[in-house]
Amino acid sequence: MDEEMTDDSQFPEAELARLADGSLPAARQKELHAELQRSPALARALAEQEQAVSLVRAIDIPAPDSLRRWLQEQTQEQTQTSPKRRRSWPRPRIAFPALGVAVAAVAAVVVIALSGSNSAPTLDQATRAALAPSTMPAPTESGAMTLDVSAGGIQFPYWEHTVGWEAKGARVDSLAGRKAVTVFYRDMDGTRRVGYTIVTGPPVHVNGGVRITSHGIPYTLKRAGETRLVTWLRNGHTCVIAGQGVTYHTLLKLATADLPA
Amino acid sequence: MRSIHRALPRLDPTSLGQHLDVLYRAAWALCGSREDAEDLVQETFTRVLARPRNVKDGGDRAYLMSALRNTFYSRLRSNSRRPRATATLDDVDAVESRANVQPERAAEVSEIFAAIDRLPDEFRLALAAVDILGLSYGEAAEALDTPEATITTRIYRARQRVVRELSDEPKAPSRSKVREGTGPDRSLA
Repeated sequence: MDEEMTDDSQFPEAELARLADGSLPAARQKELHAELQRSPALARALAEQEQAVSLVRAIDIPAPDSLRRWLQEQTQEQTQTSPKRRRSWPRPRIAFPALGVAVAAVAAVVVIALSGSNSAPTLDQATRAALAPSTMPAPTESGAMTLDVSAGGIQFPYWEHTVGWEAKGARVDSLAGRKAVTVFYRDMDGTRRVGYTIVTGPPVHVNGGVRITSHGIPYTLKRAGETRLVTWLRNGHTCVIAGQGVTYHTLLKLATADLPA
Repeated sequence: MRSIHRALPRLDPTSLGQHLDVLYRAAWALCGSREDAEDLVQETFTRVLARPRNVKDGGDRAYLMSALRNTFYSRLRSNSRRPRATATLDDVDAVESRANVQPERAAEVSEIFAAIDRLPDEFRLALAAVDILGLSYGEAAEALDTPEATITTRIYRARQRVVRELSDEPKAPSRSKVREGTGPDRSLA
């Protein structure tokens, strides 16, 4: 065990799983802890297990009230009759064939919206701009914690000395006839990248997502696959920060970096 | 076998409510969406309540996990293919904000469930039984009709995958990424 393990298949998986959740017998815990001290790879594997345990076991979302009421009704009636399906289920149900038609119709509308030059820009388009390659050199600091690039009168932030993200490039797009300026940033490790896009003009429509308010400003968090984004308004213009493999926490930290503490 | 069942205590229907929250969360982990989770829980309880059940002392939760799993597979078979939502930017996995759940927390939970949803069925079931429903490995093995050693291995790998999915670090290096130079943007045009 002196050598660091590199192959997961050599790990005592069952024991690590049990150690992480506290179900490993005490005697074996001691032995395994000794092995962990000799093997950083083993220790990392345990850390992953412990992280998963804390994440998953901390989920405390309650069942919907409607489901709780239904169960109460059923259990009260159970001694007399067999259970009935919920009669007043509040969630609208759509038959699958009808749902397919609806999805196809929505998809058609989206395609039309993306291709039409007269339509308003969508959040999807703004996000694509934020994820696209840069086409212009990195902007430079212009003082007062801002860069020498602006859109709709809003200067992009200079984050290098505040949150440690460096501007690396920029691009300008026309989304449905509206100017959209994007500045790309990378963290100091160079591993994470985000695009900060400002779409000028009236607010871009935002559907769904999770809304959160910070410093009195409403932000919307959304996700599509690997991409996460935060969007909000500055002086009436739509701002989007999007990236892949970046957490909501990081996105919110960036979006609120320029606000007073 | 029949005589053994007769000797077991009767499942008290009025006690089912205390398992509702965890069963709902387990169902969400299995289905990948809260709407399907609601349906799955409802169908599971409907089946359980259809007739009196004999369950060994303290085994209510394991019994419900077993019923949830059977109902889950039954629904899979009847649907022939597990329906999965396709995420788009305008139709994402929005999390319902409940009065007692902070939006940021709800978003995190949604991501954890999304990571669980990407696990193979067997891994999801093991994770749901042990880490969500809180069964011991032995109880999970019994509920899922799987050897205990297999359950522990599945748990290990399921947890590992979930954490890696949720990692803030870049994913597999093979993933196509836009590369940027550290100097002038000569590679960016």
